[in-house]
Amino acid sequence: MVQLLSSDNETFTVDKQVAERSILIKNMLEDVGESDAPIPLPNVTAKILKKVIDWCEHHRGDPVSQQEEINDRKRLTEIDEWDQKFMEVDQETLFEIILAANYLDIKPLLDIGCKTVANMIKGKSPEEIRRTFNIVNDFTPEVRQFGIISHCYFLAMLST
Amino acid sequence: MQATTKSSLSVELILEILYNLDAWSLCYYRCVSQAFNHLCIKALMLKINHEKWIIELRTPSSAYAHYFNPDYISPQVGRLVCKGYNLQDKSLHFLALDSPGYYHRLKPHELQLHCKQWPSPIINLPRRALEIGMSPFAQNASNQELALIYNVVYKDKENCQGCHRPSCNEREQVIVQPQSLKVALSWILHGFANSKMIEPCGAVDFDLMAMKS
Repeated sequence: MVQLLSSDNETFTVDKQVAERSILIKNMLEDVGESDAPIPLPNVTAKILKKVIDWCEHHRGDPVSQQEEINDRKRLTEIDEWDQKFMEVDQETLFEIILAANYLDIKPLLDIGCKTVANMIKGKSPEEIRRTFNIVNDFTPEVRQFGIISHCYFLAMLST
Repeated sequence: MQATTKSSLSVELILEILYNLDAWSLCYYRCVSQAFNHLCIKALMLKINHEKWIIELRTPSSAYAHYFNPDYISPQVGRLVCKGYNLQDKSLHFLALDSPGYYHRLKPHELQLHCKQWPSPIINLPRRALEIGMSPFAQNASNQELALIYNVVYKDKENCQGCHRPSCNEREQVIVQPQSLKVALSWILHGFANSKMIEPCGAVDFDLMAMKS
Protein backbone atom coordinates (compact mmCIF):
# COMPACT_ATOMS: atom_id res chain seq x y z
CA MET A 1 0.00 0.00 0.00
CA VAL A 2 1.02 3.61 -0.65
CA GLN A 3 0.07 6.74 1.27
CA LEU A 4 -0.67 9.98 -0.60
CA LEU A 5 -0.81 13.36 1.11
CA SER A 6 -3.01 16.04 -0.45
CA SER A 7 -2.28 19.76 -0.39
CA ASP A 8 -4.78 20.22 2.47
CA ASN A 9 -3.00 17.53 4.53
CA GLU A 10 -5.45 14.66 4.07
CA THR A 11 -3.87 11.24 3.74
CA PHE A 12 -5.17 8.56 1.38
CA THR A 13 -4.03 4.95 1.49
CA VAL A 14 -4.19 3.26 -1.90
CA ASP A 15 -3.00 0.09 -3.54
CA LYS A 16 0.44 0.45 -5.14
CA GLN A 17 -0.91 -0.74 -8.51
CA VAL A 18 -3.59 1.98 -8.36
CA ALA A 19 -1.13 4.70 -7.35
CA GLU A 20 1.21 3.71 -10.16
CA ARG A 21 -1.35 4.76 -12.77
CA SER A 22 0.33 8.10 -12.12
CA ILE A 23 3.73 8.24 -13.80
CA LEU A 24 4.80 10.93 -11.32
CA ILE A 25 4.04 8.69 -8.32
CA LYS A 26 5.52 5.65 -10.07
CA ASN A 27 8.80 7.50 -10.61
CA MET A 28 8.78 8.82 -7.04
CA LEU A 29 8.29 5.30 -5.67
CA GLU A 30 11.15 4.03 -7.80
CA ASP A 31 13.41 6.83 -6.57
CA VAL A 32 12.50 6.59 -2.88
CA GLY A 33 12.17 2.79 -2.67
CA GLU A 34 10.26 1.07 0.16
CA SER A 35 9.05 3.72 2.61
CA ASP A 36 6.07 4.28 4.89
CA ALA A 37 6.24 8.05 4.56
CA PRO A 38 3.27 9.56 2.66
CA ILE A 39 4.00 11.00 -0.78
CA PRO A 40 3.25 14.74 -0.72
CA LEU A 41 1.13 16.05 -3.63
CA PRO A 42 1.15 19.82 -3.01
CA ASN A 43 -0.80 20.66 -6.21
CA VAL A 44 -3.81 18.41 -5.57
CA THR A 45 -6.55 19.01 -3.01
CA ALA A 46 -8.19 16.14 -1.10
CA LYS A 47 -11.45 16.56 -3.05
CA ILE A 48 -9.70 16.20 -6.41
CA LEU A 49 -7.27 13.53 -5.21
CA LYS A 50 -10.25 11.41 -4.13
CA LYS A 51 -11.77 11.76 -7.61
CA VAL A 52 -8.46 10.86 -9.25
CA ILE A 53 -8.06 7.81 -6.99
CA ASP A 54 -11.62 6.72 -7.87
CA TRP A 55 -10.72 6.93 -11.55
CA CYS A 56 -7.47 5.01 -11.05
CA GLU A 57 -9.30 2.32 -9.03
CA HIS A 58 -11.81 1.84 -11.84
CA HIS A 59 -9.10 1.71 -14.50
CA ARG A 60 -6.56 -0.29 -12.50
CA GLY A 61 -6.69 -3.22 -14.91
CA ASP A 62 -6.36 -1.14 -18.07
CA PRO A 63 -3.17 -1.66 -20.06
CA VAL A 64 -0.77 1.24 -19.59
CA SER A 65 -0.97 3.33 -22.76
CA GLN A 66 1.21 2.18 -25.62
CA GLN A 67 2.22 5.75 -26.22
CA GLU A 68 1.27 7.66 -29.35
CA GLU A 69 -0.50 4.94 -31.33
CA ILE A 70 -3.14 4.24 -28.70
CA ASN A 71 -3.56 7.91 -27.96
CA ASP A 72 -4.19 8.61 -31.64
CA ARG A 73 -6.82 5.94 -31.85
CA LYS A 74 -8.45 7.12 -28.64
CA ARG A 75 -8.74 10.61 -30.02
CA LEU A 76 -11.13 9.30 -32.63
CA THR A 77 -13.31 7.31 -30.26
CA GLU A 78 -15.98 8.43 -27.86
CA ILE A 79 -15.58 8.66 -24.10
CA ASP A 80 -16.85 5.46 -22.49
CA GLU A 81 -20.01 5.56 -20.40
CA TRP A 82 -18.38 5.26 -16.96
CA ASP A 83 -15.91 8.04 -17.78
CA GLN A 84 -18.73 10.25 -19.07
CA LYS A 85 -20.55 9.85 -15.74
CA PHE A 86 -17.29 10.40 -13.87
CA MET A 87 -16.80 13.70 -15.66
CA GLU A 88 -20.30 14.97 -14.86
CA VAL A 89 -18.99 17.57 -12.42
CA ASP A 90 -19.02 21.35 -12.29
CA GLN A 91 -16.65 23.24 -14.53
CA GLU A 92 -14.25 24.22 -11.78
CA THR A 93 -13.88 20.58 -10.64
CA LEU A 94 -13.43 19.46 -14.24
CA PHE A 95 -10.59 21.93 -14.76
CA GLU A 96 -9.01 20.86 -11.47
CA ILE A 97 -9.18 17.19 -12.53
CA ILE A 98 -7.42 18.13 -15.79
CA LEU A 99 -4.75 20.06 -13.89
CA ALA A 100 -4.28 17.16 -11.44
CA ALA A 101 -4.08 14.60 -14.28
CA ASN A 102 -1.45 16.76 -15.96
CA TYR A 103 0.53 17.20 -12.72
CA LEU A 104 0.31 13.51 -11.80
CA ASP A 105 1.06 12.52 -15.39
CA ILE A 106 -1.99 10.31 -15.95
CA LYS A 107 -2.32 10.61 -19.72
CA PRO A 108 -5.60 8.68 -20.21
CA LEU A 109 -7.37 10.78 -17.54
CA LEU A 110 -5.97 13.95 -19.10
CA ASP A 111 -7.27 12.84 -22.52
CA ILE A 112 -10.75 12.18 -21.13
CA GLY A 113 -10.78 15.55 -19.35
CA CYS A 114 -9.69 17.41 -22.48
CA LYS A 115 -12.19 15.55 -24.61
CA THR A 116 -14.97 16.41 -22.14
CA VAL A 117 -14.14 20.13 -22.35
CA ALA A 118 -13.93 19.86 -26.16
CA ASN A 119 -17.42 18.31 -26.15
CA MET A 120 -18.62 21.23 -24.00
CA ILE A 121 -17.27 23.64 -26.62
CA LYS A 122 -18.71 21.85 -29.66
CA GLY A 123 -22.00 23.25 -30.88
CA LYS A 124 -21.74 26.44 -28.82
CA SER A 125 -21.70 29.86 -30.43
CA PRO A 126 -18.58 32.04 -29.94
CA GLU A 127 -20.60 34.23 -27.56
CA GLU A 128 -21.59 31.20 -25.46
CA ILE A 129 -17.94 30.15 -25.30
CA ARG A 130 -16.95 33.61 -24.08
CA ARG A 131 -19.60 33.39 -21.37
CA THR A 132 -18.72 29.83 -20.36
CA PHE A 133 -15.00 30.43 -20.05
CA ASN A 134 -15.01 34.11 -19.05
CA ILE A 135 -13.24 35.20 -22.22
CA VAL A 136 -13.35 38.85 -23.25
CA ASN A 137 -13.83 39.64 -26.92
CA ASP A 138 -10.78 41.83 -27.50
CA PHE A 139 -11.15 42.24 -31.26
CA THR A 140 -11.55 45.80 -32.53
CA PRO A 141 -15.08 46.89 -33.65
CA GLU A 142 -14.05 46.53 -37.32
CA VAL A 143 -12.87 42.98 -36.82
CA ARG A 144 -15.96 42.21 -34.73
CA GLN A 145 -18.17 43.42 -37.58
CA PHE A 146 -16.27 41.12 -39.89
CA GLY A 147 -16.70 38.33 -37.34
CA ILE A 148 -20.49 38.83 -37.28
CA ILE A 149 -20.61 38.45 -41.06
CA SER A 150 -18.57 35.28 -40.92
CA HIS A 151 -20.66 34.02 -37.99
CA CYS A 152 -23.87 34.45 -40.02
CA TYR A 153 -22.14 32.81 -42.91
CA PHE A 154 -21.08 29.81 -40.85
CA LEU A 155 -24.57 29.46 -39.41
CA ALA A 156 -25.93 29.46 -42.95
CA MET A 157 -23.41 26.77 -43.81
CA LEU A 158 -24.64 24.70 -40.88
CA SER A 159 -28.18 24.76 -42.20
CA THR A 160 -27.23 23.68 -45.74
CA MET B 1 -9.37 29.54 -20.45
CA GLN B 2 -10.62 30.21 -16.95
CA ALA B 3 -13.37 28.60 -14.92
CA THR B 4 -12.81 30.94 -12.02
CA THR B 5 -9.81 32.84 -10.78
CA LYS B 6 -8.78 29.74 -8.84
CA SER B 7 -8.08 27.28 -11.63
CA SER B 8 -6.85 28.26 -15.04
CA LEU B 9 -5.43 25.96 -17.67
CA SER B 10 -2.01 26.40 -19.21
CA VAL B 11 -1.60 27.13 -22.91
CA GLU B 12 -0.43 23.54 -23.49
CA LEU B 13 -3.58 22.16 -21.87
CA ILE B 14 -5.86 24.48 -23.84
CA LEU B 15 -4.10 23.34 -27.01
CA GLU B 16 -4.65 19.74 -25.95
CA ILE B 17 -8.38 20.51 -25.56
CA LEU B 18 -8.65 22.37 -28.87
CA TYR B 19 -6.85 19.52 -30.64
CA ASN B 20 -9.93 17.40 -29.92
CA LEU B 21 -12.11 19.74 -31.98
CA ASP B 22 -12.56 19.18 -35.69
CA ALA B 23 -10.94 21.56 -38.17
CA TRP B 24 -14.25 23.24 -39.03
CA SER B 25 -14.90 24.13 -35.38
CA LEU B 26 -11.34 25.44 -35.01
CA CYS B 27 -11.98 27.80 -37.93
CA TYR B 28 -15.34 28.81 -36.54
CA TYR B 29 -14.13 29.62 -33.01
CA ARG B 30 -11.30 31.88 -34.11
CA CYS B 31 -13.54 34.89 -33.56
CA VAL B 32 -13.88 34.24 -29.80
CA SER B 33 -10.88 36.42 -28.90
CA GLN B 34 -7.40 37.26 -30.17
CA ALA B 35 -5.72 34.75 -27.88
CA PHE B 36 -8.27 32.09 -28.85
CA ASN B 37 -7.61 32.91 -32.51
CA HIS B 38 -3.87 32.21 -32.07
CA LEU B 39 -4.55 29.01 -30.15
CA CYS B 40 -7.05 27.78 -32.77
CA ILE B 41 -4.50 28.44 -35.51
CA LYS B 42 -1.80 26.58 -33.62
CA ALA B 43 -4.13 23.65 -32.89
CA LEU B 44 -5.21 23.57 -36.54
CA MET B 45 -1.63 23.52 -37.80
CA LEU B 46 -0.75 20.77 -35.33
CA LYS B 47 -3.80 18.84 -36.50
CA ILE B 48 -3.02 19.24 -40.20
CA ASN B 49 0.55 18.10 -39.63
CA HIS B 50 -0.26 15.28 -37.23
CA GLU B 51 -3.15 13.91 -39.26
CA LYS B 52 -1.07 14.21 -42.44
CA TRP B 53 -3.57 16.12 -44.52
CA ILE B 54 -3.38 15.66 -48.27
CA ILE B 55 -3.52 18.08 -51.19
CA GLU B 56 -4.55 16.57 -54.50
CA LEU B 57 -3.54 17.90 -57.88
CA ARG B 58 -6.00 17.53 -60.74
CA THR B 59 -6.36 18.69 -64.29
CA PRO B 60 -9.20 21.25 -64.73
CA SER B 61 -11.54 18.68 -66.32
CA SER B 62 -10.91 16.24 -63.52
CA ALA B 63 -11.43 19.01 -60.93
CA TYR B 64 -14.80 19.87 -62.49
CA ALA B 65 -15.81 16.20 -62.48
CA HIS B 66 -14.86 16.04 -58.79
CA TYR B 67 -16.84 19.18 -58.00
CA PHE B 68 -20.05 18.10 -59.67
CA ASN B 69 -19.85 14.52 -58.46
CA PRO B 70 -17.69 14.12 -55.34
CA ASP B 71 -18.46 10.38 -55.24
CA TYR B 72 -16.86 9.86 -58.62
CA ILE B 73 -13.18 9.07 -58.17
CA SER B 74 -11.74 11.52 -60.65
CA PRO B 75 -8.10 10.90 -61.55
CA GLN B 76 -5.42 12.85 -59.72
CA VAL B 77 -2.09 13.70 -61.25
CA GLY B 78 -0.38 13.98 -57.89
CA ARG B 79 -0.85 13.92 -54.15
CA LEU B 80 1.17 15.75 -51.53
CA VAL B 81 1.13 15.04 -47.81
CA CYS B 82 1.72 17.52 -44.99
CA LYS B 83 5.18 17.13 -43.48
CA GLY B 84 5.54 20.25 -41.40
CA TYR B 85 4.47 23.78 -40.64
CA ASN B 86 5.87 27.18 -39.84
CA LEU B 87 4.00 29.09 -37.16
CA GLN B 88 5.85 32.33 -37.92
CA ASP B 89 4.62 32.78 -41.48
CA LYS B 90 1.59 30.48 -41.00
CA SER B 91 2.51 28.18 -43.82
CA LEU B 92 2.42 24.42 -44.23
CA HIS B 93 4.84 22.21 -46.14
CA PHE B 94 3.66 19.32 -48.26
CA LEU B 95 5.79 16.66 -49.95
CA ALA B 96 4.93 14.40 -52.89
CA LEU B 97 3.53 11.00 -51.96
CA ASP B 98 5.55 8.33 -53.83
CA SER B 99 4.25 9.77 -57.09
CA PRO B 100 6.14 8.94 -60.28
CA GLY B 101 4.69 12.04 -61.92
CA TYR B 102 2.27 12.31 -64.79
CA TYR B 103 2.60 12.40 -68.55
CA HIS B 104 1.59 15.52 -70.42
CA ARG B 105 1.95 16.98 -73.84
CA LEU B 106 4.70 19.49 -74.27
CA LYS B 107 2.66 22.59 -73.54
CA PRO B 108 1.90 24.70 -70.48
CA HIS B 109 -1.21 23.68 -68.64
CA GLU B 110 -3.15 24.36 -65.49
CA LEU B 111 -3.45 22.24 -62.36
CA GLN B 112 -6.21 22.53 -59.77
CA LEU B 113 -5.33 22.00 -56.14
CA HIS B 114 -7.75 20.60 -53.62
CA CYS B 115 -7.36 19.74 -49.95
CA LYS B 116 -8.80 16.28 -49.32
CA GLN B 117 -10.01 17.26 -45.84
CA TRP B 118 -12.20 20.14 -47.02
CA PRO B 119 -15.89 19.55 -46.28
CA SER B 120 -16.87 19.90 -49.93
CA PRO B 121 -15.14 20.33 -53.29
CA ILE B 122 -14.29 23.92 -54.15
CA ILE B 123 -14.67 25.41 -57.57
CA ASN B 124 -13.30 28.88 -56.87
CA LEU B 125 -10.93 28.30 -59.76
CA PRO B 126 -8.52 31.24 -59.80
CA ARG B 127 -7.46 30.65 -56.23
CA ARG B 128 -7.03 26.89 -56.75
CA ALA B 129 -5.14 26.96 -60.00
CA LEU B 130 -1.43 26.93 -60.77
CA GLU B 131 0.08 27.37 -64.21
CA ILE B 132 2.57 24.63 -65.04
CA GLY B 133 5.38 25.62 -67.41
CA MET B 134 7.22 23.12 -69.53
CA SER B 135 10.87 24.15 -69.39
CA PRO B 136 13.08 21.26 -68.39
CA PHE B 137 14.44 20.66 -64.89
CA ALA B 138 13.20 22.02 -61.57
CA GLN B 139 10.49 24.65 -61.75
CA ASN B 140 8.38 26.73 -59.48
CA ALA B 141 4.71 27.57 -59.98
CA SER B 142 3.33 29.98 -57.46
CA ASN B 143 0.73 32.56 -56.55
CA GLN B 144 0.21 34.55 -53.34
CA GLU B 145 -0.67 31.51 -51.27
CA LEU B 146 0.79 28.51 -53.06
CA ALA B 147 4.29 27.61 -54.21
CA LEU B 148 4.71 24.31 -56.02
CA ILE B 149 8.14 22.94 -56.92
CA TYR B 150 8.15 20.32 -59.65
CA ASN B 151 10.47 18.66 -62.12
CA VAL B 152 9.90 18.39 -65.84
CA VAL B 153 11.54 15.40 -67.47
CA TYR B 154 11.57 15.12 -71.25
CA LYS B 155 10.70 11.69 -72.50
CA ASP B 156 12.05 9.94 -75.59
CA LYS B 157 9.57 9.70 -78.39
CA GLU B 158 8.03 6.29 -78.75
CA ASN B 159 5.11 4.63 -80.46
CA CYS B 160 2.25 3.56 -78.33
CA GLN B 161 1.72 -0.20 -78.37
CA GLY B 162 -0.05 -1.53 -81.46
CA CYS B 163 -0.28 1.90 -83.05
CA HIS B 164 1.07 2.24 -86.57
CA ARG B 165 0.13 5.84 -87.32
CA PRO B 166 3.21 7.65 -88.55
CA SER B 167 2.30 10.80 -86.60
CA CYS B 168 2.10 8.91 -83.33
CA ASN B 169 5.76 9.05 -82.49
CA GLU B 170 5.90 12.72 -83.32
CA ARG B 171 3.80 13.63 -80.34
CA GLU B 172 6.18 14.85 -77.69
CA GLN B 173 5.60 14.05 -74.09
CA VAL B 174 7.09 15.11 -70.80
CA ILE B 175 6.77 13.78 -67.27
CA VAL B 176 5.81 16.37 -64.68
CA GLN B 177 6.90 15.36 -61.18
CA PRO B 178 5.44 17.48 -58.35
CA GLN B 179 8.01 17.64 -55.55
CA SER B 180 6.88 19.92 -52.77
CA LEU B 181 4.32 22.56 -52.01
CA LYS B 182 4.25 25.46 -49.58
CA VAL B 183 0.72 26.49 -48.67
CA ALA B 184 -0.48 29.49 -46.66
CA LEU B 185 -2.84 28.50 -43.86
CA SER B 186 -5.32 31.09 -45.19
CA TRP B 187 -5.64 28.97 -48.33
CA ILE B 188 -6.67 25.95 -46.30
CA LEU B 189 -9.03 28.04 -44.13
CA HIS B 190 -10.67 29.35 -47.27
CA GLY B 191 -11.84 25.81 -48.03
CA PHE B 192 -13.77 25.75 -44.76
CA ALA B 193 -15.34 29.16 -45.36
CA ASN B 194 -16.64 28.19 -48.76
CA SER B 195 -19.78 26.57 -49.95
CA LYS B 196 -21.51 25.70 -53.18
CA MET B 197 -24.68 27.48 -52.04
CA ILE B 198 -23.45 30.75 -50.65
CA GLU B 199 -21.23 33.49 -51.94
CA PRO B 200 -17.98 33.01 -50.04
CA CYS B 201 -17.04 35.71 -47.54
CA GLY B 202 -13.40 34.71 -47.81
CA ALA B 203 -11.09 33.21 -45.26
CA VAL B 204 -11.72 34.82 -41.93
CA ASP B 205 -8.31 36.38 -41.58
CA PHE B 206 -8.60 38.16 -38.27
CA ASP B 207 -4.89 38.91 -38.13
CA LEU B 208 -5.08 40.76 -41.40
CA MET B 209 -8.20 42.61 -40.24
CA ALA B 210 -6.52 43.52 -36.95
CA MET B 211 -3.53 44.89 -38.86
CA LYS B 212 -5.77 46.98 -41.12
CA SER B 213 -7.83 48.48 -38.31
